[in-house]
Amino acid sequence: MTSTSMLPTVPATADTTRPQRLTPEMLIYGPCALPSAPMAMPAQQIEPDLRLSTRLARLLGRRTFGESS
Amino acid sequence: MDWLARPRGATLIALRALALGLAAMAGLGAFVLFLQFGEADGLQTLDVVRAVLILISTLWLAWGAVQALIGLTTLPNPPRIDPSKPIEGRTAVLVPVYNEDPISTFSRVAAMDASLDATGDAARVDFAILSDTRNEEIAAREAAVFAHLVEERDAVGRFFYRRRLNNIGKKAGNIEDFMTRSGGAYDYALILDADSLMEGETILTMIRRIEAEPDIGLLQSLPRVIRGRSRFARAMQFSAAFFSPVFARGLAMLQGRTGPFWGHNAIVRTRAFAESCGLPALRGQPPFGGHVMSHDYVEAALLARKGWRVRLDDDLEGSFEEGPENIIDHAKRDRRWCQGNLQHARIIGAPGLCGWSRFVFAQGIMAYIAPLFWLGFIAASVAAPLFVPAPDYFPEPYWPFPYFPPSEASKAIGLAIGIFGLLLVPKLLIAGRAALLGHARNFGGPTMGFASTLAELAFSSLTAPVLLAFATRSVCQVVLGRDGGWPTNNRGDGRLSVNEGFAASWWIVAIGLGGLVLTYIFSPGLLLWLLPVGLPMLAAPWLISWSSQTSRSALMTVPSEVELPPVVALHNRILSRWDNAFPAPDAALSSDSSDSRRSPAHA
Repeated sequence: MTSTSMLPTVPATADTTRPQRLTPEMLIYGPCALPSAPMAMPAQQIEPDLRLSTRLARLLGRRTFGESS
Repeated sequence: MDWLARPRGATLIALRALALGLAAMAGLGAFVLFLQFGEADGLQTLDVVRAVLILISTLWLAWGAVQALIGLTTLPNPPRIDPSKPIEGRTAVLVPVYNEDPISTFSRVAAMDASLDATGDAARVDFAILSDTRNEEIAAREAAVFAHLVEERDAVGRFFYRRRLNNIGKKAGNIEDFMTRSGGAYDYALILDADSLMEGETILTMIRRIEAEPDIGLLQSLPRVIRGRSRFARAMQFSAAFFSPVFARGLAMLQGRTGPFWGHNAIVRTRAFAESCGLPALRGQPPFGGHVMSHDYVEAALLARKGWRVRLDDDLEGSFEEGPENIIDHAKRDRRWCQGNLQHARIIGAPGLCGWSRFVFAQGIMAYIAPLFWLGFIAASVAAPLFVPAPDYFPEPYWPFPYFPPSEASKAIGLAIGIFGLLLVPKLLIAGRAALLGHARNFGGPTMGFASTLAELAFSSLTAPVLLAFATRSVCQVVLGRDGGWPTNNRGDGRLSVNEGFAASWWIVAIGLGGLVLTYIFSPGLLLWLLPVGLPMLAAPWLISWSSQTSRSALMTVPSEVELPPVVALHNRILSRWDNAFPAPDAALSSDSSDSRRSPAHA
């Protein structure tokens, strides 16, 4: 389900050997910046939808929970 | 006993029904007993109101007691996994910080990394410090200390630091920002708090367990409170170490696939978390609208809704956190949790949630509104004599002898004993079992275990009215629409003077005094019964100050005091070295992290 072969490549900067005497800012914005490997995190529906159309749809058997529009 | 330690299917349903049934029986018993007591002088409407209030309150107390009783029936049951199997997935340890002292927080990262190193395991575990710090001077110090951390641990490419420009969504938003930016690089994320510490071996065990069972979305450990110094902190620490594992065992047996998430010291499967836990802001303004404050409960419910298993592994050792050092800091943290739990009233009806998730939300809400039912019961009891008709000693005309209504005081006394029993018996049983099974050894032995239990019972009885007063105020503030914001947690020395205690609790003294005076005027017979509540309220400033002072008692000894856990010892060594390497905290730190400790009135 989550094999390492599916992982995106981590930027090369994260794997370099330690440069000599980098300032804190250079570290934070350079080799110690978070790797770029975006992942979608869709907003979920966490409140009951009290609209009449949703209630009718649920009554007719369509499940409407999950990602919010 | 595996079927009972981790029940499933029909066994789980039967266990839940038994637990709820027992609690309901206790509540109904109290209801009936109180009605019989009220009938003695003629049943009034107020008697029925009081009986309903006592039913709800007893039901709630009994639910807690039943959890402990169920927890006493089994021991923690570790899942069977192959510890020699190499870990394949990559893990990020997430350390969200918000105006914390970076020396204290980042040195924990160094200690956990060293602890992982000591295991000799080749698993890929990175650390990401996720800063939401708003204070520029603290942020500058974070950068400097981070550079020191990276150099000391030779951790370029393994340690990361990111500071958000804005802190939208608070801690949940901070984690979400990591997931959307970097989550794809990791299979698992171990979510910590700024005061968390975990043994390297525990971290690896959690990774192995989540890797071995692909349907697990989240695995929660049971963190032990450590480093308590004050009387208050040591009482909380003892309670968390001695009683909580049994309550947690009960919870673990009842959880099924929908276990808890407490926000930290838990590992998540990044893919499961990302696909399930994107939290939009709630409609409307805080306190009920806006960003979800107690996001952890919601995330656990959302994972379960998508079919992922959420599990509490209460057998895991080596997971630690720190707690507040005084009642004021506890009340401040509780104010935030109160708002977060009451906000769940908006989420409890979300479509598709598991029934048990909704029940967990209801429990969280009940935990905060329960004091209101007790308060209502006490107020109604004080007012009750005003509504009672004068007794008629000669109900039969022309009958020369007076008739004295039968006294039902024995029923009231029985009811009171029953309610105290719900509070005391589970703890005494836990002490008894600890003595029998040898668990009390690390708490100073069986005798010390019992003595500490009695001391904790006395301490919690003394402080309960003060804590309940703060909790009641929090509920009232939230209901009246006051947002508590997101204050920094105070960690460290929190000793308070009586003046500081008074500044924070004068209103509790006033309410306690007013309550006792009104009781004396309207219902003097109740005065003796209400003294255990009223006197601690009158003494609130002294209690707050006294309980915040350093404890030197052998009572309430916990295992981490008898033998320092390796990662804590490591952290102590690193911290003392770093304290010497870095100059004393500057004005920014003292103003942001410590000032509120000096201003308890603003808690």
